[in-house]
Amino acid sequence: MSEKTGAIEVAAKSASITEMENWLINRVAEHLSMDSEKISIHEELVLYGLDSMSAIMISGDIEEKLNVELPSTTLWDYPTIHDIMLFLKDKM
Amino acid sequence: MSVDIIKIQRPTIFDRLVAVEELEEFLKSPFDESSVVSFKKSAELDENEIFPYQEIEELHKWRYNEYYIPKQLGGKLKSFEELLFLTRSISRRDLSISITDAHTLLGALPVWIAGSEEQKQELAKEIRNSRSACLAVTERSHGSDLNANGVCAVKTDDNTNYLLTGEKWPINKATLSDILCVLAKTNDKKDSRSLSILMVDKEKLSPDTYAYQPKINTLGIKGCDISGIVFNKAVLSKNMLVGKEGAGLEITLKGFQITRTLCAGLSLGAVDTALRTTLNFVLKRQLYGKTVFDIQHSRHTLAKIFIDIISCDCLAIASSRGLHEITSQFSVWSAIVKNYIPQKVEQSIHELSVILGSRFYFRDDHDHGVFQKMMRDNSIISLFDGSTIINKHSLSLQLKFLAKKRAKSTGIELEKTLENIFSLNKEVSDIDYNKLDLFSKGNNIVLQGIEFALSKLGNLKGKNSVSPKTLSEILNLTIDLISNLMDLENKVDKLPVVESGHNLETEYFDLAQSYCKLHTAATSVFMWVYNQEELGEYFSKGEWLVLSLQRTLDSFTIYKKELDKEYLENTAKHLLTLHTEGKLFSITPFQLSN
Ligand SMILES: Cc1cc2nc3c(=O)[nH]c(=O)nc-3n(C[C@H](O)[C@H](O)[C@H](O)COP(=O)(O)OP(=O)(O)OC[C@H]3O[C@@H](n4cnc5c(N)ncnc54)[C@H](O)[C@@H]3O)c2cc1C
Repeated sequence: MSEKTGAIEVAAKSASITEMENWLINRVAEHLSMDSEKISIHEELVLYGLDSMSAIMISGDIEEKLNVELPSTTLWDYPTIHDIMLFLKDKM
Repeated sequence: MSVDIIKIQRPTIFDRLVAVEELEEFLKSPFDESSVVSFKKSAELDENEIFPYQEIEELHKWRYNEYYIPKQLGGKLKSFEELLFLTRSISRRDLSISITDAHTLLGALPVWIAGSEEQKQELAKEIRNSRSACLAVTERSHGSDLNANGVCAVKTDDNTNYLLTGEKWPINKATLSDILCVLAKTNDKKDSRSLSILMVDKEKLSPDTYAYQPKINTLGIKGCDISGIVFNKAVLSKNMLVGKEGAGLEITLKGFQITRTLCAGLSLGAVDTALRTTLNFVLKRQLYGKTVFDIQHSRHTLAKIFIDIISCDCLAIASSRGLHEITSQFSVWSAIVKNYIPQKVEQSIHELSVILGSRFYFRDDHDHGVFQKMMRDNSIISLFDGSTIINKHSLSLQLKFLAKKRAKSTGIELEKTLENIFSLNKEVSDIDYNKLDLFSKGNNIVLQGIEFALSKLGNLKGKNSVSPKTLSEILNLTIDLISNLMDLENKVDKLPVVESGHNLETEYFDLAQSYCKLHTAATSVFMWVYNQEELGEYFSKGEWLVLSLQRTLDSFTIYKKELDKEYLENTAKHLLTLHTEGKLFSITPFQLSN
């Protein structure tokens, strides 16, 4: 791989990661009936009022979006959007 | 024309599950006052609110307690199908006994699911020695809101022990059990990883670190020990942690998937007796120069109730087998069973009470007043282990996924698994508890495979065992089932995303209820197509299935709602035969002691 194509791939991946992060923020905001602007990626989602079962459903949403298999309890183990994104990076 | 023969030899299920009739023989007829568990003695215990010690001791002489221990640990629990029927057998005698004793399984499941090898061996040994277990989840102030629980387990500074503090209430056997699996907070976050399960052996606790709350006076199961327990810095070795710290909620919910499925056995046992004692009455009671059974309205009502029982029976049997074959789908299946069966049975018992007239209200007349006892005892089943509402709620959350995934499925690839679940000639595979999952990822094989049922039905054309009229009715109703399912999926698609915080739109609950009906109807169809020639003439003719589909799908648009009188009469005749021969009211009518 040339340096240039490598750089393009890295840029494309980071764009898709940003897109995924935005999608996730919106998804969470929808489940919480909250304005997405008010959601910090470093805040634990449970503090916004996300309950256990909704957390499982959001991991289902992510599975569908990325077409990957995830443990149902992914959001239980990765409590912030930042943590979830770190976990998902390798899978994207 | 193809020649088809209805099997006249005994269906293999009776030999596969030989323990069911053996237990019946051991327990003898509950109508007989000298039996191990008799309606007369149960009524006395209930009236005096006395715990059924002697009955449980007798049951354990038969080694019933070993059915709570997996066979891999030297126990007798090899299939939940078998345990379902055994539970029915005890429940039809006295729900106080089955609810109390079976709670040991609920208490043990966290260990079977997530415990260490050492914990498993230890607990298996204790249960084999007739020590009993219970699961303590609920707290007075928090009920269904488990993440709000206050009982906490704090690690000691040297990291070797936990100190357990707080109250669990109301708990079945809080006072009388020897071992408890307690759901306790192990951190202060109130999130889904804040709770852990700890196994508490009371023998190992210092007596000054726990106390009991008094027995609660209850409407039913009056002899049972429904009480509370308060811990005050009770010292538990860290080896008593079951699974990982923070896995408590996950383990508890997985255990519920099994017990919610088995609750069907409690309900079906209760309704078996409620129907049997009502039949005793209607066949004896003379009015207007004939018996009450001779009155068409009574007879047809009994036939309809029997049909509803059979629909629940199909769902219960399929689910007890499904636990082994499609374990990962049980967040959906167990919610359907726990939502549908106890509710339907409550309704059936109520309808039976109308036929029994004043006898339903008397506490000692007619079969020792067993009807009113069953009615009262039965009403707890829809509440514990997650109430009807809680199950509807958890099913609601998955509806969008279920609808989307089904649209992508053809059904054909599911054939082998469907056969393993529904073909009652087959032994089920060993269950792998690791496959239990809190989310079915949109999968529900029964409704994903429903189109496949149509082709199986098509293959039955030309068989002697089923009339063309009945077969075409079944086909039409199955087509109606599918179109109503598609309609429901469209409605689900239009609903807003589920909002967090347990404040789901009411419409979700209604659609979940409808989904349960469609699922139940589909299990009846599969049960028939996979066993059509195996379970005797009445089953084979399929008239029951027409009635069952009509009744289960009554709230939907179906092509024909009016029930065929001839089918009802044939059903009443079959019911009478089962009653006279003392057989279980089931598609697999085990011989009872009567
Ligand atoms: C005889 C008996 C034996 C028991 N044995 C045990 C035992 O051995 N171990 C144990 O841990 N517990 C046990 N329990 C407790 C039992 O499981 C709880 O009572 C049950 O879970 C309901 O809790 P609650 O009564 O506090 O109702 P709450 O949780 O206070 O609920 C009240 C009502 O609120 C509504 N509601 C609640 N959540 C939702 C939701 N998500 N969506 C919509 N509506 C909702 C429902 O209408 C519900 O009925 C027992 C109870 C009884 C009566």
